[in-house]
Amino acid sequence: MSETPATAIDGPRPDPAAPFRRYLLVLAALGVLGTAIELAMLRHWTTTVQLVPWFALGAVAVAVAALWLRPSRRTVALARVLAVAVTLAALFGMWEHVRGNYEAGPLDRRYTYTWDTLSPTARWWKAVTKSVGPSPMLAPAVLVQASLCLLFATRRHPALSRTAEAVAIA
Amino acid sequence: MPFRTPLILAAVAGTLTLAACGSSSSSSATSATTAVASATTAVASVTTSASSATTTVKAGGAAATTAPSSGPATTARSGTSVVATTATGVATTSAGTTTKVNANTATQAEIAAVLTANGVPSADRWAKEITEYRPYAADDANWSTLRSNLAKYNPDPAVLEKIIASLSS
Repeated sequence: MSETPATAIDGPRPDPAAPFRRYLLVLAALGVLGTAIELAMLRHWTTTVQLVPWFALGAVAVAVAALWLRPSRRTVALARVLAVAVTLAALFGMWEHVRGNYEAGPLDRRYTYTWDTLSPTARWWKAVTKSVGPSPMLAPAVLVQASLCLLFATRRHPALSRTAEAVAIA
Repeated sequence: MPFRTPLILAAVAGTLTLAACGSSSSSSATSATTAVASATTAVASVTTSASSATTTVKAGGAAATTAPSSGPATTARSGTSVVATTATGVATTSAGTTTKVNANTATQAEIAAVLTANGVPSADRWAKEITEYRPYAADDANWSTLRSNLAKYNPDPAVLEKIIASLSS
């Protein structure tokens, strides 16, 4: 008896959430495209650490393509792993932006000679709110959005139950 | 799960909105600071005059009325820079010019050392920025690339002129 998981799942029990999975993947792909354009315009590659989001975008792109073209238990697992990794990269990026702003505090004309006299709370608050420094803290969060789209697209994915059902049928 | 999809979409939309806010504010801030950078050169003489008066007291009258020695093409900028560095007690050569370092080839430590010698506060941090944005074109006499990149940090115009005066390409 040949195992045909696609027939077992797609035939008798079509996935009602399939269109929404595709919508989420489209959103993730648009996020990747828009972020890549934005990073390119910012020339976000002058230091090694600035290459991190490029790798993250590549990971999301691979995951989206894999889920779209070859949905399987393995690609769903891969997408989830990549989504978590990209989320961690995004959190790292947010931290790097805040840290960069913090270190840029004494470069600001308003705090050149007073930065060290401010309380740590005041300094970090100014860094978080971009009162000093050039980096927006939430910009890397667009990677979190793309990652969430990926994760939501794999929620109760039919590919996850194919193997179990195939075994049951066999 | 009829009510989950709207929740998910709302979460995604919220995240997207927050991210977009961050990006747009960044762009506008960058544009604004670039505009400030452009205006910096124009107001440099006024600002420098004020800081000269202030720092001359600190320097104990070390400021000399050194005349700028630059050519006519860069008289305004270089003249302002020389007066500013002299007034703030920066180490100068016997000719009254600021010590310079090659921005394209010097190490970050070397640049920081020269900036420190020229009286630039937070010299290490500025040196890091200078090395980050190189190479600098030799025909960019006004250091427009470096100016636009450093303008993101909202530097004091006098400090910016000190930095520019400390560099060669």
